Amino acid sequence: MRDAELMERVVRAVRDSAPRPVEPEPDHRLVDDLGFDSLRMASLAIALETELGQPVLLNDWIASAPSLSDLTVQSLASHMAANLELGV
Amino acid sequence: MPFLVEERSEVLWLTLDTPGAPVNIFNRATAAQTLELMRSVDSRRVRAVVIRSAKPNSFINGAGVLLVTYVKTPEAVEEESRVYRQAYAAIRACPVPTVAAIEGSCWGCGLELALQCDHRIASGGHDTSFRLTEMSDYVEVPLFGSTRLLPDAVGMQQALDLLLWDARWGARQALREGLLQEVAPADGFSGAVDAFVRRVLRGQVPSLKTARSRLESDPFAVLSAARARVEDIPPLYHRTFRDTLDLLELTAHGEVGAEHERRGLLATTASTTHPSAKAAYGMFHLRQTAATLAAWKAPAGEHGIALSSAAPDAARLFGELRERQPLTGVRILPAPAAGSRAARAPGPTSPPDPIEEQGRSVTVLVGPGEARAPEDVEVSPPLGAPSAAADSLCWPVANRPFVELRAARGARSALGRALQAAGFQVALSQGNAYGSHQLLGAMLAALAAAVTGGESPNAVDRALRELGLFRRAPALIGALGPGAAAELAARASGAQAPRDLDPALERLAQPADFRAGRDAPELVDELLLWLLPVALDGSFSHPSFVDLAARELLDFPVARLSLCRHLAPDRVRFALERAPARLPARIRARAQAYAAAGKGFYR
Repeated sequence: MRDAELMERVVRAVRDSAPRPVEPEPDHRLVDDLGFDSLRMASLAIALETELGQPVLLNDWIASAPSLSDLTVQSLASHMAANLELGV
Repeated sequence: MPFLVEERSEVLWLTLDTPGAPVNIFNRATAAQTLELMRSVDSRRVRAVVIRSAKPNSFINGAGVLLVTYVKTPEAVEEESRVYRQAYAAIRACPVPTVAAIEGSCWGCGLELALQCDHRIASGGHDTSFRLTEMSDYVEVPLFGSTRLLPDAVGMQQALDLLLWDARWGARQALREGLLQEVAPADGFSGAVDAFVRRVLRGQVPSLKTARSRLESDPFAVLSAARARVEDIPPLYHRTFRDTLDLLELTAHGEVGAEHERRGLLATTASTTHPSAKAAYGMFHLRQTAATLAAWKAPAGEHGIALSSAAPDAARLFGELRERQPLTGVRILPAPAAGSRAARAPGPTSPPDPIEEQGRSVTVLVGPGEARAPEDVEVSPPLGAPSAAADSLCWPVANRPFVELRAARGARSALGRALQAAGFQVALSQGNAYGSHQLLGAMLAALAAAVTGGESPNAVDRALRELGLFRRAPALIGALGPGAAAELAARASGAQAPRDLDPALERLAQPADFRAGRDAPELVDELLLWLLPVALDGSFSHPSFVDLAARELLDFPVARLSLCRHLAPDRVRFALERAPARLPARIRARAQAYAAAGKGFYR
């Protein structure tokens, strides 16, 4: 999957699961800017599963960021891309 | 703001309503507002402060998991927790009496908050429950006062039950143990709180802070017995449990000041930065995923469950289920006549049902083989043996009330949400067999195969302890009963009759001592390989449901995140290299194919 297509899918998943209407941008921070919390992350995981065709577990992505503010749409797309390359 | 604030009749009413969440979370914003409110209390105008909830099922459920993920050093724990600790200290130091009015789940830091108050009153409704979730769900040493305050409040033994052994108390037990001063009926709770506060204002209710300590005359003996018990639990948990016991020992010595706080911070840091806690947060996310899927797009609010008389045992079974874990927020509608269109709706003599009119009522049929319409829901009976199936819908082995459902999409969402509101963990499945049966059966068949193949029950006990299970073979088989255990194992083994497995299961049901068993890590691998086909090809309709069921029914450790996550292709490949020759060929072949494909359960 190309990076642009993956980003498109991630953006769609974020938009579909966000707690309020939003047009996500790559540098948007999920918690600080878009209002995600730990419960809302489950909806995001399910939306990503719909887009990517495989169940998703987000805790590695969450733990890999240096801080809560580093959980951006871009970092999520990068994490998903890395997992695709690894074939996991 | 998280708290709605109202000053009325010289009382400050703080009503917590976490924005956008189904339950109350004591997050940073809540802590900051608490601190500000407590510091602004003017004892010339206000004579009491009441903390209560706007959410009917939740007083406070926890502190929010996301933030904890980023706390990695003692300095960071101190910094991140400061506003929480200040808020709790401010409640304790409040110049006027504080009252916790508890309705719904009072868990983790919610219970610790209540402990800071002078007075505690709770609703006697079935939703009210008290738990310290830190150790059992997150493998963390709690930080906000329970290790200092609980022993005096309820005694050391009961404090240990809550802190270490995942005790869950309803309101009545909490009252008996001294945690509460009063329990009032759920109906009219608000009025009961008003009356209680008036008595507090008149000085007729003594503060719990000055109540006689319930600490035992020899708390050290209690702690010593707990230390011995900790030796039996999986080594994965030893450090966190021992650190908690050390803090309780300080409390027993009367040291509840600065030194306790310093060591508490160190212990919490050690536990939150340990890989076990990181794994446990992963299981939290999976639990949320399963809960979201099981109630996907279901409307919020009350739900009706119409019991169809097409399944004659349904009403009785659901009645028993309700007795064990009452279905609050759910109405059980009268059973209509069988075989008619009305069989899926309230009968003609029933009162009008607004929920049915909105198309949200669902029919529940129980047990396989019943004729049913596509929108019906089937709830799994808990035991394999048909005669035992009618006993209850609650699995006796589950860590928390657990129900497996299968249904058409609309119906299952409505019932899934209703059961969740009643405190159930809900997993969805499809296919001809129940996922719960498959998972328990595979576990029991694996254990029986090991013993039949020459392993001692003590070695099996040791392997299960190494894997991370608190509840091992004797407890599992004892809870299920030998007949059901043999039935489930026989189905999973595929080739044996229950009676063939009886001798092995009988030996496994006897008390075992891991110390006398040989160290056999390949036994852990063998067990995992038996479980793999259930996770891959079983009836649960999503890996998060497999993981939920493995946690609740098998006691799979949160410290290893989850069964499916643990069964990564590399782990399975490694297990295959060590697996004994007795591993059935079909299981070996399935595991080889999975490992070769190299694709795990989760991306």
